Amino acid sequence: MITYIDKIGRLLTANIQYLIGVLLMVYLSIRATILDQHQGLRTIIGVVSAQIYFTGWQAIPLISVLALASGSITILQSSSELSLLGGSEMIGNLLVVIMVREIGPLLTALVVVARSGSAVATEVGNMRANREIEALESIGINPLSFIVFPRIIGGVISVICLCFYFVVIALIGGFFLTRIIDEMPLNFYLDSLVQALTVEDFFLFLIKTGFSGTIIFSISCYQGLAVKRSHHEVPQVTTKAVVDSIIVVTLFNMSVTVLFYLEQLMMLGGV
Amino acid sequence: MSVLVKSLHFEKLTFHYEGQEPLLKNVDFEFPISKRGVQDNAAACRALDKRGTASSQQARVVVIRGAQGAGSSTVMQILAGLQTPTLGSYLINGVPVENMSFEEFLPFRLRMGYGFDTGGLLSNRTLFENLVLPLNYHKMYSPQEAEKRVLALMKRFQLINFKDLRVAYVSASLRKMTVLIRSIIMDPEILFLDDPNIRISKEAQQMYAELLRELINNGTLHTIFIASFEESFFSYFDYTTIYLEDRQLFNTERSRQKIIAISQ
Repeated sequence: MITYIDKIGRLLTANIQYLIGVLLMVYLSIRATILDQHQGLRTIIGVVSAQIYFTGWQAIPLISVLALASGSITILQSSSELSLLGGSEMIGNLLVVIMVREIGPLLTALVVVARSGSAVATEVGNMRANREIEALESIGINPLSFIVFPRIIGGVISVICLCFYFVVIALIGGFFLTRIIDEMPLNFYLDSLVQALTVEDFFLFLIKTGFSGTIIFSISCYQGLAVKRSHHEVPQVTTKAVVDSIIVVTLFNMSVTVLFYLEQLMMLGGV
Repeated sequence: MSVLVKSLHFEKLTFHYEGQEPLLKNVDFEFPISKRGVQDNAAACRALDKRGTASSQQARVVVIRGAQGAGSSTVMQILAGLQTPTLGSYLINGVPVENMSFEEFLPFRLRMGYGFDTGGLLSNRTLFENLVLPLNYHKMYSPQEAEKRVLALMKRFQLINFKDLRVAYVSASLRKMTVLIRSIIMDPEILFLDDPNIRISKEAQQMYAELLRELINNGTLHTIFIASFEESFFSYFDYTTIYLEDRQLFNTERSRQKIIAISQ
């Protein structure tokens, strides 16, 4: 029994230490960026835009395919089921719940973890092993403000934009794709969507995508910087960055959803 | 420009890499650095030049020697603030470095140059971009002046044809030369050179030694620390030797014979 308690305690301590480490790195990178008098806005914008290009722009083909596929499948399935139940006008509500609130943010985050989180962890890890981080320090450039901060900002912007793109393509592109087999009028479909969208959806979307981006790029940079001196550590930290990012992002998305519906239930007097 | 770094001191300093035996244990050591003001130094150099004597004698060249793997590179890294002591203190001008934030240490850092033994160049940038980055970042010169300065140095060291190539696309000797040039690009007053002789030819070493002499004559560079096993580079200068043995630093010649025997 004591062994189990001991194991749980160790696991908990290790995770808390990990979380504190990541949060401390984020705090220090913000602090370094504010305090760094030499790093101009131009330098930051340069790295941020490169990050947006790699994370956002280059992911568009993959996101397009996923959005079209998931959008058309969801529209097709829900419209046929709802017609059978006589609730076709509810299609907007169903799609907003599925696409805008849940699938869009989560699927986009998972794509970004796989494509860019792993790339950032590898890049930073290799920089550590090649002594590039040390080199930056030796010339008076703080790696936290030069490498970490712009990557987090670029990552957050990319995830928000990619997710918005995903939702638009899934809802609009998916609709046109389903018209091949299903004859739903466009006006009816758009009206249903517009009526279903609320301010809460907008905030939920921003919270989920914004924090997912922060989580992915903070963990990836943290793991990359955790490389000590050897190249053989790079694949290990990359795998850890991907696994940790997926777990934390999924748990985060799930928690936000639970809290959101709990609040809705409380407002309705259900809890 | 006044001298910023006036003393470097290890106080009961211990250092070890994670999971390894200590490389330095409880070391108390005052490093010899040039105590002259820059003005005096430059004047003395000019006087010596008139007599045709090597002007480098007015700067302090300190060679850190030890058996292979003893940790002389680590001593350099600690001195340059790139490694933090595991225990004890490293004091610059009497102030412990380990208590300083990156921003607090920055004024010292900008007066120090560091030449890495291996690696140390940004792989996603060209050789030219690697050299111009510190000058543009710290806005030490206008972008045009910085470019002119870097191009002149690249031309002098025959790197100009490779200036637009990324680090991975040039030979190890060109990479090493770029690292050595970057170490002096910000006109440091203290220079740390970790194995400056490896991977570069005798001619290149001589050219670099000439450049260092010019910087000493200009009055900017006043102390050079060299961690090296071979004499090929530091024999260009008059130097003081510090020995690293049994995890301790010594000023005396106590262990010189032993180290020479190992090197042979």
